[in-house]
Amino acid sequence: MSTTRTLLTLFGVLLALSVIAAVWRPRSTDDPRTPLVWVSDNSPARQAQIEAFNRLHPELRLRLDYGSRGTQKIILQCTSGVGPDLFDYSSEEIGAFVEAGILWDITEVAEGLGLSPKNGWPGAERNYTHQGRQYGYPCNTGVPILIFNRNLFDLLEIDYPKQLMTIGEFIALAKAFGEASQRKLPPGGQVYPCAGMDWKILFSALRGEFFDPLGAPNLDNNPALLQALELHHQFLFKYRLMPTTIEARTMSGQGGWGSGNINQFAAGRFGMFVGGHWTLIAFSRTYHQQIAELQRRGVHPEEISTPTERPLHLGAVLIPRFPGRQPGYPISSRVAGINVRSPRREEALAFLQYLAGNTYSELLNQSCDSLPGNPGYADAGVEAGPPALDRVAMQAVTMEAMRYGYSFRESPFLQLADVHRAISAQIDRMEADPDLPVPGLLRHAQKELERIMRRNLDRNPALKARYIETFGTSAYHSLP
Amino acid sequence: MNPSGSLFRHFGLVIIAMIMTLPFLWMVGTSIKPHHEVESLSLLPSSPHPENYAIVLRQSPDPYTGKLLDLDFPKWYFNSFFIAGWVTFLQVLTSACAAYAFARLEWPGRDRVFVLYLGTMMVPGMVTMLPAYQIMVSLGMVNTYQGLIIPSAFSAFGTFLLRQFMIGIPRSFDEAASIDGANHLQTFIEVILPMSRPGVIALSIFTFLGNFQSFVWPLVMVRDDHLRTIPVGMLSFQGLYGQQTELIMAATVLNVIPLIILFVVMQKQLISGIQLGGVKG
Amino acid sequence: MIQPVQRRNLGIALLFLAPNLIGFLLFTLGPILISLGGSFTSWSLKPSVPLRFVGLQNYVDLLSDPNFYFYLYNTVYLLTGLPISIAGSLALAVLLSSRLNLQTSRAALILSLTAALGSLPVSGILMISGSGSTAFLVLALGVITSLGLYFNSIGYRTFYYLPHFTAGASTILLWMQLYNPSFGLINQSLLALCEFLGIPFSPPGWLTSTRSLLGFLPLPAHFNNGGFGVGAREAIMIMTIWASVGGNNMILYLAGISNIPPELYEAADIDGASGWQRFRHITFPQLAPTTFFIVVMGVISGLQGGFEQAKLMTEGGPAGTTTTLSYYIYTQGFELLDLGYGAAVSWVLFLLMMGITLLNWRYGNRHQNQ
Repeated sequence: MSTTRTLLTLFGVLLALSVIAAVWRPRSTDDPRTPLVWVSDNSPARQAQIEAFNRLHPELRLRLDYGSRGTQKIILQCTSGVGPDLFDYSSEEIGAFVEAGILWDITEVAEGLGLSPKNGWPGAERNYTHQGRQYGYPCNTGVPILIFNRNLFDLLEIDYPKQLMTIGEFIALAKAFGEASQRKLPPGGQVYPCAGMDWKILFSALRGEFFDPLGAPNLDNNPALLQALELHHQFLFKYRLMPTTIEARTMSGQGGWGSGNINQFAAGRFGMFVGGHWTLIAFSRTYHQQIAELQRRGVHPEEISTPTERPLHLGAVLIPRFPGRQPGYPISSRVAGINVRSPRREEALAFLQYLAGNTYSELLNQSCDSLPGNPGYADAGVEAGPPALDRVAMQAVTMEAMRYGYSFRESPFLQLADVHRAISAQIDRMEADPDLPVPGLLRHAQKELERIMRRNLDRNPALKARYIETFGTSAYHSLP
Repeated sequence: MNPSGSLFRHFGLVIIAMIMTLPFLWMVGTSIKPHHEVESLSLLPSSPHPENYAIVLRQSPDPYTGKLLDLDFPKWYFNSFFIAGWVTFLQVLTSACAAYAFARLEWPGRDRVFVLYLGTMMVPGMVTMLPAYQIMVSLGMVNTYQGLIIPSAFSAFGTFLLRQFMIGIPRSFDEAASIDGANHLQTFIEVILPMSRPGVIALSIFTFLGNFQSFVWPLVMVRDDHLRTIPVGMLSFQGLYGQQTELIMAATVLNVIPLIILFVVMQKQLISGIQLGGVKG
Repeated sequence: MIQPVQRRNLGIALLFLAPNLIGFLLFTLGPILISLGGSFTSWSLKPSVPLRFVGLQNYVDLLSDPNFYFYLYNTVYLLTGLPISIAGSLALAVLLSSRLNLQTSRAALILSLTAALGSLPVSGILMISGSGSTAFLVLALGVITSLGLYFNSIGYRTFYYLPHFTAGASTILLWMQLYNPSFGLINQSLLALCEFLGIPFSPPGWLTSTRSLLGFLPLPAHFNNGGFGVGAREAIMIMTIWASVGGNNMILYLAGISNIPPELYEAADIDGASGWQRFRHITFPQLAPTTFFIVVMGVISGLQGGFEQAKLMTEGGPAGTTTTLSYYIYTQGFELLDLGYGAAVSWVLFLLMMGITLLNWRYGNRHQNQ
């Protein structure tokens, strides 16, 4: 076959494929509604929330895109001009997004639409504002509470956790739980007393701050942080209350949405679990699966004698506090922000208003997806659900916990995400080598943060001027 | 010619071959396991569950959520083949033309430009990735098919390989063609190109394979689901359903089978191509 | 002196070169120069950072950043698998070029059919008696043996090349599953083996562990030295060796071996040389140019490697132990949007590669001329 003919044939084939490629893509041009793309997670509750919005706004069509999640991906896409209209970010990430310049500053607009933090949960403002400017509205807000598995406690004949225990009482309870589980359960049926009581929760209970009031990072001279990390270390290695990340990863997981710890708790591998009550979404799914299985076998839940073969039976209390102090809980939110470069950002505001509205809040509470951003509708649509899951009590506990909630101070020179990354790296090291002294770890983290801060200052002349104005030239030069 | 010695060598080779293929065997076995058996040591499940393939191909729902998986395997396959096909076609064509210019034509600065080409092959790929991405942003080609095809359609390596090949073709053919009155274009198409066939085929296979498996560039360029290629798709699969090992393995089997078939068919050309690109004695 | 025919050819040459040259300038040379220039600026995708010329600031930051040396250590560490991979390729090539042909092709056919037909009933019996996986293994064994006996070198070559050919995102995910500390095939098999032998054994953490075989070295604390053991770095090394040992290097060695003049071997036979002596005095020296090429290419690609493994398997590893320089460049550039800094790291990597290649060249050339 002649060369020319081969080449032309190949070219023809590729052209045909190109036509197929052009045609085979999701069709949307025949829809007169304005499309809005929202990047979020694929929690089972999301679909209903989107449909309700579309019903309220027939001229708009909101669509979920959860494949593009990830801070870096969103930033990259938005700066390249192919970003979504709306995207979720967590309260820790707000600094990164503002720095990248992709969030729309809605401070003035929000006021008029009733979205201002003045109408929101007290203590949660920093979740969606940065340096005094507002960059979105919460999809949900919450605080962690202590959820426990009544079946396991019944089995091991340990008393349930009490409301507002001190840390000391908590440790004693967890130790008793651990010892009972060693004695009474077969080897290999690992049940840890607790999951999620990590340094961050302890640090919040001490109402610690990463930054001093002027914005400088303070990790190595921080008694609260030191205490929190030391306790974390003890929980991991001395009292064996919770698994290290590595151990957690080796516990097999079940499929689907939700982190490993949630699934493990639902499977009965942890006695207690620290998390927001939005985890009920996963727990109720497990519960219904268990009920369905029992029905299939024709067994009544009350007839079961072994507690752990019963379906999930949960309880919830406030997270323990340190003696002599008020409790402190970190408020976090999943915030929806608007891409400043989106051509449809005005229309996207309608979505933020929806988030502050009654319809959405009801849906949120029905699916138990944490608290709505608007405190006025905090109890809208709360349904009791199966008593074994204690939904109403969890709601009450969460509302109570919100009273003690607060969010960490920010700094113009560093982002909270950097702090968390620096400390997490040290936690990794701690878990890998328990003999490392904790103050040394904090010193490393502090040095790392100072290094990052210096790079930020070097790149941003305005910021550098501000730093020198606040701390002086010698402080700048003493940075690594 | 000691037959027992040969048998002994065969034995050793078979053992090594088993070790090399063991991961693949495990992959196939796990892909038909039901979820609760994934953790057992056995290679094969006691109750085979070939429905995993149906689940991965969106023909039947995921047992955990009751919904179809949010993946689009056929589209990913199409994209990978489509993009790799175009890239191979364009790359071979442009490289052959350029190789002809370097191998057969005399022009001022030829050898210096060629050394420049060679030099750029030494630069790590990461160096060019960031600016190339910026260029694509300014051209507006991010998140498009063109953005995935065009930057890869040029290769210094391809030019190098084909030039080496063309240099080996005796000039007598050229002379015969010019006596017959052919100009450069005709000589190129009718004489040189057919004679470079082994090199062209080897380059095609390398390029196709390399692009088919390329992961970094599509990762950075692609945002929409319908543009995903197989490696990027597998990454998102892992992210969403990573806990369900048996599904991941089923998807992996589906990815690897066409590669195996391609390899078995193209074995001979591929091997001779590697030997061409390597060191001559 | 430019001849008139050369000048006329220039026009034609440009025509032929045009598409390639445009692409080359736009996507290869252009980005290289932009990257080089950009490494001297504060180039960033963040709008709050103005573009300014900063001279060597990026490089200074880079060389005073302890993370850089850590990642450099990771990159070089992964390179230590290269000699094993090359030696493995050489061994396989030697094995495959030794005399494999059984006495007659009829003998080969009979043996191969025996293997195939023999394995079927055996695996059938095993299947019925319940051990499905052993049956599967026996079947695979039978297929491989029969194909190998019949097709000899080409048959085995196919099996050995397979890991390299299919390497990519999919096989990386496959290995991630194999390395799972609790239910992955590797740990499970090791546990079963040690139970069988009665040796106490705690399974290595593989991808979740920060340990490494060089963990006993007194490295700076920042290097996240988890201690002695088998960890993520070893996991990636083993996977890389598996994927590369039967690959292109083996083929190159096979080609090289087939080029060795048989008279040399005949002379050795007359002198009564053993197999090992033949290898050491004839095969290996004759393959020196091939080895040299393979080592240079191996070092070049090894220094740039580790990206896909880091991105897919470990996201940079437990406490940064599997972050190689190429992954660091990616995170700096695409995740932290610090393009100037990322470019500087890339160019330092380039200088490193140039340096090693030049060293190799000088050493290899001298060696060759001996």
